Amino acid sequence: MADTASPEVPPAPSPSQDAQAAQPLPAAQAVMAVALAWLVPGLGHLYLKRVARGVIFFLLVIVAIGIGCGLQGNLYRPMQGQWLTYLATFGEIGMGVPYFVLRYGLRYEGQQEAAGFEYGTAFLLTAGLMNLLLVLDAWDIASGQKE
Amino acid sequence: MLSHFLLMVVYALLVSLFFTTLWRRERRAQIVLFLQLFLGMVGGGLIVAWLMYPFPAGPPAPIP
Repeated sequence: MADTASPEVPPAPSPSQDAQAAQPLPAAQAVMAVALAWLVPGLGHLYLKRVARGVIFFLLVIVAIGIGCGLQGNLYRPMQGQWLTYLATFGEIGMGVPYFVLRYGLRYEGQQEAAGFEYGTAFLLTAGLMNLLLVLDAWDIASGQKE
Repeated sequence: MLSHFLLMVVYALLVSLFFTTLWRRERRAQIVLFLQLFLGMVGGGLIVAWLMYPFPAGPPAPIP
């Protein structure tokens, strides 16, 4: 009977749980981190003080974009009647500012006749999708769901 | 630069490094995951290429 009367004590968090627990940032800072993460690859992580990771992500995405452009891969734009181009465009716009610099600043489109066209397209799409994952990662860090 | 194999290796390298940095924090876990991803992609590509080897290549697709 004495056991039922004793108050329940929550288990103390283990050291590993302590290390993984992170304080969520205010909503404005979280939104800023997500916006920066999309605009420039790795910038969201820099903003969240994950400097090394931010630099690595920036280099990886920029190298992927550089190889994709060097191979004359396709920089997608939406085409009527071809709904897959909408998805592909969304994926490539995921790379943020570099997409618009390539599209409107450098007038880059890619060359379908180039030998590396398909490979280059894969690199460009991958760069955009990687950066979209970085946006989600920045959100997870900013909201305290991930260290 | 237009070697299919080299491009596959470079692609696998980039993607493996990306996910290793994204998903793991400890150095040892990073190395293990990197090797799994990199060798999985390159090895998997070679296995698929080997499986497709008996099938003849068709004519190149026309450029629209």
